[in-house]
This record gives sequence, C-alpha cells and structure tokens, in this order.
Amino acid sequence: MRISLNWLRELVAFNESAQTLAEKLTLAGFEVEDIEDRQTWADGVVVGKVLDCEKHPNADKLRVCQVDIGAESPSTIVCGAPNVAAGLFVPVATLGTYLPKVDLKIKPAKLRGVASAGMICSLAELGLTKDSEGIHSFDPTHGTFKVGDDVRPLLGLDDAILDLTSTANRADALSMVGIAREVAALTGAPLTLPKVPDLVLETSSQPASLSVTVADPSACMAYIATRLEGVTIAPSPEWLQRRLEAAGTRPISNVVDITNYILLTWGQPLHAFDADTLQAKGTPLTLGVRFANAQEALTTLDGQGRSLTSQNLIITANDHPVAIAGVMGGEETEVRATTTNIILEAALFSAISVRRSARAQGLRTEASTRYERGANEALLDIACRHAIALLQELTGGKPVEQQLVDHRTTFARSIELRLARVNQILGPLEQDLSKRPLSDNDSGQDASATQADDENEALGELSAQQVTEILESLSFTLKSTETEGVWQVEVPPHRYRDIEREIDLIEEIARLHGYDQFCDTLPAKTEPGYLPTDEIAIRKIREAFRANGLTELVHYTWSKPGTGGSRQIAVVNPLLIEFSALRTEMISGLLTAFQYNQEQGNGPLNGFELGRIFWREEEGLAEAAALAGIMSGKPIQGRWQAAKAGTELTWFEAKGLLERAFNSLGLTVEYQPDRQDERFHPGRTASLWLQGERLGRFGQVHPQLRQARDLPQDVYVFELNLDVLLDAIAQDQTLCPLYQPYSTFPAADRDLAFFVSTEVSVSEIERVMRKAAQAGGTSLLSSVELFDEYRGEHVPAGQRSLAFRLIYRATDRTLTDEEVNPVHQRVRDILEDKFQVSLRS
Amino acid sequence: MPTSSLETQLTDLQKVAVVEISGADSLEALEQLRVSYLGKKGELSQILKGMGKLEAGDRPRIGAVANDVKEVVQHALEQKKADLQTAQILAQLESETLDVTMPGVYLPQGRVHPLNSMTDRILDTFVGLGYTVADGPEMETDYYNFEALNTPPDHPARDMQDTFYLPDGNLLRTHTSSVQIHYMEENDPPIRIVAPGRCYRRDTEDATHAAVFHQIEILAIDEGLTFTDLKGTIKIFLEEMFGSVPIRFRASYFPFTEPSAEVDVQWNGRWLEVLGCGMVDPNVLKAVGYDPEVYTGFAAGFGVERFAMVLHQIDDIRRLYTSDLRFLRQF
Repeated sequence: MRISLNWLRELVAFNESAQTLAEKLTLAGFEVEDIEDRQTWADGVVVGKVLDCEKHPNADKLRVCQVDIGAESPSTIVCGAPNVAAGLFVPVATLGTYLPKVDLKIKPAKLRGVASAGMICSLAELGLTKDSEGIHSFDPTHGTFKVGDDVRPLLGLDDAILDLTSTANRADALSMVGIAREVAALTGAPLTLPKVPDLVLETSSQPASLSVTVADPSACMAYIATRLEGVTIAPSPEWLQRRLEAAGTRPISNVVDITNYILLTWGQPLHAFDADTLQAKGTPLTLGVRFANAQEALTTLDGQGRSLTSQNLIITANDHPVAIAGVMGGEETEVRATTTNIILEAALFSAISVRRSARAQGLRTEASTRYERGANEALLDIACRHAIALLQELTGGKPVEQQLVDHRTTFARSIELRLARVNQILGPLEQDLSKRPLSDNDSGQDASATQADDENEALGELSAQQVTEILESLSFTLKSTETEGVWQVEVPPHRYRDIEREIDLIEEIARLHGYDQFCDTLPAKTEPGYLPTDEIAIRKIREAFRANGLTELVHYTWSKPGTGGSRQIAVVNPLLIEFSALRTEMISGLLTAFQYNQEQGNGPLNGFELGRIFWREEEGLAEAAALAGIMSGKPIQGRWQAAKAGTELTWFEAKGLLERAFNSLGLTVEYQPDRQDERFHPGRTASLWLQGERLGRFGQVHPQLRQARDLPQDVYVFELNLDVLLDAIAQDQTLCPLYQPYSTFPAADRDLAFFVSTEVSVSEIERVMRKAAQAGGTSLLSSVELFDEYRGEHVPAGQRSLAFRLIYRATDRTLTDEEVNPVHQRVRDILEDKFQVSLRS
Repeated sequence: MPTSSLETQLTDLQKVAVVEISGADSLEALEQLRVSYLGKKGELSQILKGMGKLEAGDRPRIGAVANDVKEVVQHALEQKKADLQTAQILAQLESETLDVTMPGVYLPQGRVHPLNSMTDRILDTFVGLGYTVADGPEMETDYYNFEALNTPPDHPARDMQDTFYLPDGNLLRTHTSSVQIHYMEENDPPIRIVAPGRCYRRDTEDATHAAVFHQIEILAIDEGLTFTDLKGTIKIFLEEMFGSVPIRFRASYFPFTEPSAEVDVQWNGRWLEVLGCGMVDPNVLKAVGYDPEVYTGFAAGFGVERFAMVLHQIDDIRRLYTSDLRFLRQF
C-alpha cells in the first residue's frame, strides 16, 4: 500500500522524518520497501503565466511563449504542446532545474533558431502520470497561488510516499486510518480521525422504491443501499485527484474517486451503481445478495464477460446479476458521464465468500483484498456516511432514500492476559547500559558482577506498567482482576479479526516494545546433536560417487507431461505446462543435462542426483528416494597420456566405476541380465541386487535413444532405490566394521582354463565353483578371479574360453597338495558335469 | 729360470693390466679383463706357475712381488668398476629425464553441488547446537501442510504460498514446516530438529524464484524456551553463515508462529531478508497434543537457494538446476 505522508500527517501528527518513520514501521511489521521522495521531482518548477503565445517562425508545431515566472522580465519559452495558450497558469521548469522522472536538466537552448529559457511541463514530466496529452495548467479559481510560487505544494509534490506492506493477519491495516493508528502507537503522536456528519435524508422527487434482500446473512452481514439524486459527474477536485494518485489509484470521476477515497481512508470498499440502469431492470427496485447459478453470466467493469458459478456471491437488481459482491461491479450498471442518480452500496461481505468468489474468477481487486482479510464491522456506518457527505459536497447529489439489512451481532471481546505468561514467552530484556550508575564501575569485579545481577532482576522483565502502556497505545482497555498480574483486556473493534487469544496480545507487546529490546540467549538445557544414520549414509554415498568422478546434480522434480505413461502424476493446477507433471524416474533429466552439456561444448557430463521420484499405483500416489547417475567418456586429465589408452569409456569400465563406489561403501552387489527397460541396450543392461533386494538397474543407453538425442556411444546410466541402499549401509557393521582375523599362512593357487557355452554367465560359474569347494560349511577356496576371456579363432562356435585363478587358503596352517588337490578336482568335475566345459588345463 | 725374468714378467703384467683396465669402456669388458688377469687360468696364474722353478730363497721375495701386482690390478679393477657404475647411473639419469612441466594424469573427483554443500553446512551448524535431522514426504496432506499449522481452509495466509494440488486432493508441500507436525506426533519434547527438503510453490520462474526450491526448517520445543532463545539461536546461526554482520528482527506474521519475525542481515550495505521465524503458535502445539502451558518452542525457516546465491554470488537461481559443467566445476 502506498502511504502519502502529507495525508498521514492529517490523521496523526507525528514529527518523525520519512526515513525514521519507515524504519519504525518496518520493525513493527509494516515493511516499507521504498520511500518515494517526491520533493525532488519538481525542485525548481514554479507557477508561470503565459502572457503571449505565438507560432514559431520556423516550425509548425512549436509555439514561442512569453511567460511571467515572477522574475523582472518574462521568459521566452518554446513549447511544443498543442494546448498551450495565453492566459494559462502553467508549471515552468526554470533554468538549472533537474527533472529526475524524465532525466532532464533544463539549460538555455535554441529551438529552431529561437532561444528558450525553461520548459513548460506536463504532469508526465513531473512524474505524476505515465503519459499526458499536453502541458498542465492550474485553475486560478481553485486554490491560491501567484506566479513564481513553488508548484510542489499545488501538485502534492511536497510529499513522500511510503510503499508499505502489511501482514496478512492485519485486516485493519489496509487503510490510512489503520496505518495512522499504528503510527500513533509507535510514535506517541495524537490521532485525529476524520469528522463525519450525520446523515440527513432529503425529499425525493420519486416515491420510495428501493428494497434490499439478503439470502444468506452469513455471507453478507450488512448491506446499506443509499439512493442519491441529482449527481453531476465531473472530474474530482485537484486535492482528491492528487490523493488518489499518491496512493497509486487512477482518478476517474468524482463519484468513483469518492468510493476509492473512502476505501483508502477507512478500508471499507464501496460501490456506486447508476440508479437508472438498475431501475431499468424493473421498478420497484429490489437489490438482492445471493450466490449465482451456474447458468448466469455478467460482464464486469473491466469489460470481461464472466460465467458465474455457485461460488460467486452476487448483487442482483430484481434478480438480474449486476455485480460480483465485494469483487467487481458490472459494466452495464456502472457510473458513467451521463449518470445523474446513483445507488451507493456499503456492505459487509464475509471474508470466505469473497475469497472463494474472487478465486473462482481468478480476479483480485482492491475491494476483494480488503474483504478477504475481513472488513471492519464497526466502521461500515461511518465510512458510508463519509462517502455520502463527500458525494453531497463534490457532486451535488442528494441522499433521498436508504435501505439497511443488518445481521451484525454486537459483541465485545475480552481476553485474559497474564504478566507472568508474557515474560515466560518473551524472555529477558536487554539491560539498558546507559542507566548503570557509572561511579560504581571500578569498585572491584565481584561487586560489579553482583550489581549486574541485581540489575538483571530489576530490568530483566517487562513490567505491568510497560505492558499497560503498550496495549493502551493500541486502543486496548486493560482491567485489573483480583489476581495480581492478571488483566482482562478489551479488544477494540478494529482488531477483532486478529486479536483473539492471549498470545496475540503478547505478540503486540513484543512488537511495540521492539524485538531488538530483547536479549539474545540460548536455551538453558541442551542435548548433544547428531546426524541420523541415514544422513551419515547419504553423505558416504555422495563421497563415494564423487570420488569416482561423478559430480552432484540437482534437477527439477518436473518431467514432460505424457512421458511417464499412466504412472505419471500431474498437478491439477499447473502454472506452466513444463512444470505440471512429476518425474517418475530421474534418468531422463540426466540425459537432458548430458545433451545440454554436449551442445554447449562442455564435454561429457559425469554426474549423479539424489532425489525423489513419484508415481501412481493402485493404492494411490507414491514417492520414493532414488539415486541416479550418468557416465560417459573418460574424463581423465592429462589427455596426452590418457589418449593412448582410448578416450571411450567401455562397458566394463563404466560398471567398474559403479563397483568401485559400492566397494568403498562396503557393499556386495549382484548383477543379472535385464531387458525390461526400453531406454537401455537390451544386451548391455543389468539389474542390481543387494542382499536379495532389487537395488536398481545399470546399463548402456539404447542405440536408438542415443541416436535420437545425438549422444555418443559410450553413455551409461543407472538408477538405484535409495532406501534399499540406505538400509544396507545404515547397518552397524557397515558404518562401523568389526575386525576379522586374516590368515598369515601362504596360499596355494590353481589356474583353470576351459571352453564353455556363451550362454553360461561368469557369475553362475563362480557361484558353482564356490559351492563345489565347500565342505562341512567351510571352504578352503578363499577367492576366485577371472583373468582371461577369449572368443574367436580356435574356440568352438557358441563358446568362449575363460581362465580363472583359484586361491586356496586356510587360516591355521599351510595347505599341502594332498589337501588342495581333491577340492580342486571336485571343482573341475562339477564344471564339466554342470556346464559341459572342456577343460584346457 | 732367473728370478729377474719372473719379476720382469710380473711388473710388465702390472703395467699392461693397469693400462688396459683404465681403457675398459664397459662393465662387461672389465669383467673379461679381470678373468684374463686374475682368473684361475689368467695371466697371473700362468706366470706364478713358474714359481716352482725358483730358488727356495727367492720364492718369498717374488711371492711378495706377485701379491703386490695382484693387489694393484685388483684395486684398478675395483676403481674402474665403481667409475663405470657411476657413469652408467649418470647415463640412465640422463636418458630418463622428463619434462616435469607436462600435465599429470588423473580422473578428477566429482564436485559437491552448491545447494548440497550449503545444506551440509547448515545441518552441521545445527547439529553443533544440539539438533538432529528429520524429514518428511514431498507429497503432503492439507492437514500437515496447512491445517495442523494453524492455517485452516480459506485462511488468507494460504495466499502467501500458492500451492500445487495433486489429483488425490493432497498437495506438494509448500514448506518443510510440515515435518514439524510429523515429528512432534511421533516424539515427545524436548525436541530439536532441523528439517531440510524440497518444496514447491506455484510461482512464476525468474532469476530469484523457482517453482521448486529447498527449505530448511528448525524446530525446538521444551519447557521454558523463550523468544530470546530464538533470537540467540538465530543470531549464532546467521553469524556462522555470514560472519559478524548486523542482524535485525522485524515483526512479521506466519500462521504457525506467534510472535513472528523476519530476519534481515546487512549485506553489501543493504538489509537482506534471509529467514522467517517465531515462537510456535499454541494452536500448533495443541494440534499434536502438547500442552502449550507447559511447553513452548520456536521455529525458523529459510531457503537454501537464497543462502547459496548470496554467499556464492550466483546471479540466477536457474543456474543451480541446469547442470552446466561450467557452473558445477566452480564449486
């Protein structure tokens, strides 16, 4: 909200500078985002009288004016505005003036050969309007001024505007009066609210013809309709236009401006209907307040045709919709230049109904914003009377009839407040060091420490008197009770919306006393903090993947709508299509980021992301934590050497990166061929298993996808279920491994080479060998290592040659051949038996 | 045989041997010389075969000469061997000399994402202050995201956080304050948690706003916690993050705290809003079954992106999500 300090000063006589006031308001919860100092906008601009105005000898569109600016002789000023004329009083920017809003310094100049000493200004050049048709002229019949006067007081430029935000709970603060009350409490300056005369109805030329019905009193607690006759529509007087402009509202016509002025002053929205267009709906006229039917429609003031819904509370004229209550009026019944009779609406619509109605139309207005927070019941009548008085004064309108439907229930709110609770919540106050007696300062350390403690006692808490003063400055009334330190606090009507409980009062006390007046302490009791095991495990995982050359990535949770099939979840109210569906997996995001880096010439992206994925399943919507990564190229530094080994990442090198990470995390992961996911190369993809649980998938990107995205051949991706991974890591044994004794006796190794069908996997062979070597639950076979694979010449078709090194070892002795040979023979026999291998050694 | 002839042969042998040894150009040649002079069938042995024919009285003298010759030759051999070995090492060093300015070969480690490092740093700070980490779902019910946080339907504060709704009537959480409720439902006071996580707001994307962002929420509940404890905790935390900068607490409004404050730090000569906080509203405590007359507490929430952007001087929030290596490699 934009607050004119000149206007504010009429309501509360504060002495603070704009800067100081802005700071006080900001700290008290009314954040001032900007101070617009208008003094600078027209510094050096004075009232001038155009004495003479002639066509420029060398330019059709220019005039040469003689302007009296109160100096000894008139100034010659060349002016391009079509509306300049002799006799006008105009704002003249004198030589040397700087106009900041158009960034212009006025210097002596020659325009088409004629010297010009100054500039006649438009309102746009003075920053008051966005654009203007021509120069501004002052009406000598309004206001007193003479040539040479500073124009700023005449234009409201002797002002500063605070751009201020009030918090969502403060229904009362969206008005000048509300801010004035706050400023009065903050500065101690006296408050002067506008004096509003009582309403006197005049005799109508017509018989009484107006009635009001309210269908749902909970949606409309009060409705006052006042008919005024003989209104003359005209521009508002200068003072009113300036006020509205200062507040950021465009002046339209006297009637509309008055309703806006009342809204700004009191925070009470009003609406003026053209009475004759309402009566065109039938006489006698019944104004109704009800919810709309789905078939109804209304064209609103902004020219929009709107379909109404049952969410929209509307005003009807003989049951025809004429306005969306508390949001916006209808175009058909709006006040126009020809209007002579009006019906002024002053009503209380419920916050909830206006909020729902405005949302249903996707419309927010000054009126709806105020109703949504809750209009002040107690101010309705005064705001209405104030509007009528101004309409009488400024438009010549006569109030002739008023109808009131009133369902307001008068109530008073009283809250118990305990001083002990105030201090229990807020804690100790900063000691005021300046109040310490200086003379005692050097009286020994112990003494001064005791003295500080004493002062803590004395100054450490808010006193009953301080609490009373603060609350009274905000118009609360405190009554002592039988219990000491307990009050009954009466809440003023304008604070009914936000002060309901003791804690609300405590906040007011803290806010007004000043947050900076309270100490900074730490909780007296504490316990050791700790990272949970999952968090420790996540950090270990991140370390392990980073150590493998993978960079941490963070992507949006969104995915392309339609890419996740029936599992994909779309939000029901997206703002943009690209931010509408949740990701069901993270690999697409990685591929996109990879592709982006390729296009930028950044080289292959090797990275991983920890995040959530989302999907729809039979039981509903589900989410889980996942870890996904992408690997490609050999991002080895020192390419002059590394290039000799090839720069393409092989499948087994990529798998090796994963294995190295798992290895450093102390995990043993099993790999199974997998062809479930069509984004993966079906022959080069493995499902990953951890302790019998499915961990995820790793593989090379499918050649088709690779081609479609223009990716290099060696792109590998993986996606893991983070919960499975965390379960495995977050075991005590993994986080804190226990020492296992190791054998100090020499090992016996045996090599084994054979041809075997390509259908048989190495992991199967290894499993069988280990099993074969087992006897009575123990095994002499301590490790199996594949050291060669060969396919091609000299190998039978459909087979490959594999060579393993088997290491036998016992923990307590050196093994003899007699011990090893039978075990090894068993391994050989089973391989021949089970896989029909042809042993070559 | 005359002794003189034998003696001459020995001294001749010594002369020739010393010359030849000094002329040897490799360890192999030197070894051959050693064999040919001092070997079992070498020249010295050949000459000494003639000893038997000498007078018994001459033998000791000639024997001594022969020993001297042998020692001289042996010494020459050893000397030469050492010289040749030194020369060989020097030659090896010469041939193995590299350009040490050429680049080393390594696989660079991956980088920490600035959002993650900022989160780590913040969590560690609060762990140091006695907190532990808690988390909750990103798809949340209206109850946990709003209602239990004293924000009933149609509350104007719901406009402060425009919400994405899901087809099942739930929503994407707008803050990690929802974690407060989950945690308090499952635990009894005292509570000290820090809850990091991803949140969603129906916001138009620009340089400082994204529809997805990361928030960290802290919550402390105990007997006797005061607003001054909140102030002290926040100040310690902000000083840890920003150094000793001026900090101010402004009155503000959140439905789930009262009194509430927004906190600014003075940064590059301007007040910069970094955090919202307050005393936990009694209605929130009641919602989880705590007695607000017994327990009080405080909560604070702030955006990780904001902290990362300020401290790393990042100009556009979207850089954090684009995974451009030119950006990521800087952290």
